[in-house]
Amino acid sequence: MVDDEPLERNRFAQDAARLGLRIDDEDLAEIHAAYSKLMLLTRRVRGGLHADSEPLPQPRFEAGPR
Amino acid sequence: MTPPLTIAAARAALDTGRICARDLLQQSIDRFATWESHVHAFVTPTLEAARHEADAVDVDMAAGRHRGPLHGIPIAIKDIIDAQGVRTTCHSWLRQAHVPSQDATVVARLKQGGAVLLGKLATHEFAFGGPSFDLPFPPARNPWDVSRFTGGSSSGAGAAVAAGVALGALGTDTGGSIRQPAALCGVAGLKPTYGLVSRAGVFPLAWSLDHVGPLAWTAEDCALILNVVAGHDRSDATSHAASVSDFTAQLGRNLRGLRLGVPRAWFLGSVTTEVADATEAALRRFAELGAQVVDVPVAPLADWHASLAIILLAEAFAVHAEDLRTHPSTYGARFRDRVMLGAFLSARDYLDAQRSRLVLTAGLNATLRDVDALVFPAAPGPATRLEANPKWGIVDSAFITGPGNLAGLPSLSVCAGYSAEGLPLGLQIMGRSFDDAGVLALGDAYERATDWRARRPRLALA
Repeated sequence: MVDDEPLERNRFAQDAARLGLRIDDEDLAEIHAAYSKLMLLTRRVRGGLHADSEPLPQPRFEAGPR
Repeated sequence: MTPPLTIAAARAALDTGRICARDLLQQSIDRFATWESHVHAFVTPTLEAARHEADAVDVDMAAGRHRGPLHGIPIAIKDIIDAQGVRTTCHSWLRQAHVPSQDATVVARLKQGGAVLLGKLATHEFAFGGPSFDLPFPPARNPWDVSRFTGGSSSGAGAAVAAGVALGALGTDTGGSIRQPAALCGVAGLKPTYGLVSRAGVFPLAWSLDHVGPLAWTAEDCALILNVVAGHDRSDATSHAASVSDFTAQLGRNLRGLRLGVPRAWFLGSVTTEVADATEAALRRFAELGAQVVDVPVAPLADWHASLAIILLAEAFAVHAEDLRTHPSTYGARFRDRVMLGAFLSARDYLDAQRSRLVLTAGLNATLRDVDALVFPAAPGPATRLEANPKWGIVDSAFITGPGNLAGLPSLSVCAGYSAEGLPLGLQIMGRSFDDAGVLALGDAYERATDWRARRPRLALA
């Protein structure tokens, strides 16, 4: 079994830099772990949706009665 | 004369001349002197200005000018809400010098109503990410045990009301930030229906989830505050245009015939035994009051939380993107590290979360057509030790308060008793959209049917 965690963390750090964010080396593992959990949440949301059957979000910024 | 401690009692005492506004304020100032160095509820107290305001109230009342339920009542405000001439720090190094030139709409309404403003209250940094120890102010501590967390992010509001320093407070709630501190500090806190209370002049955390609402000792007091601050505001584009009702109108109603739903899937196995027992006892009490209590099916809390976390982090990052890129070290580590995650979410992630939110909300609204309200815990357990609050709750654990924010439904936390260690436990009541008055009436009925409101925190130092 290949441990690809370091590789993924490295890729994550590069993504962060590309987005203009600075992550100190000593914080990288912790923040990457939280990022991985967030990505699981995005997959959970996507898994519960059907591409054509759910409505797109409606803007909620009209001041009139709903 | 000491007793007031609630807005309703203070109102009666002021109106009958048993106390004047200056003496009522002095009670708050005395409690501030006792508690503040231990609970750190305030970042900017404005007690001298409050004395002038109280004197003006006494002049008004002597002349027969009455300005409503909060006239002369000491109220404090979470420090992400603007008050003209008083710094709004958002509990952050980034905003130390920010002094707003005008009031948030809710503060203007408090002032028009003659409330006496005690100052600005502690929060988590920008209402997200605490408790932190690397900020310009210490985190608030819980009056029931000052080694404990208050809940957040309206942390100072929970502490100030529990300690009796403020008779009411304004907080904000994006994922539970009114209801969690209300639960852990043993007070009442209402996240109103989305659009009912203006957010103009309130620093955003996540626009589509943010709500402003009251914390006070009782549900009745929350209704009195809501009567002053609720209502349409043209300067908040999400503000609802309909006229508002009297939120005290349903207090004291008979509960016979009401149907209360219990969404057990949201808390079975995920709350402490004490919270589970307190919830069951509360349900029995509602049944004794005449309500019909039925279990209702709901979508898993984890589904709600996935949408909440994505939407909250994406919107919060949008607010802070430039500052996070240009001077990240000016933020506290907890806030910075958490909100930074929002940068990695795609437009598709965000839109899918909003789509999921609509599906979940439609299901919940369908459930609420069958019952009048839902009753369930407001927090999974009593307050933890301050240092024990986890940093990554936003991705690790589902918030039982989250559905209220996503669905925009009125959700109230009231005290449901105490743990063996004497720490408060919270009960949540969620109602139909714009049935804030009904939710408050249920909370009020429960409070009157129990004796939890008779107990107050005492300052016990190790």
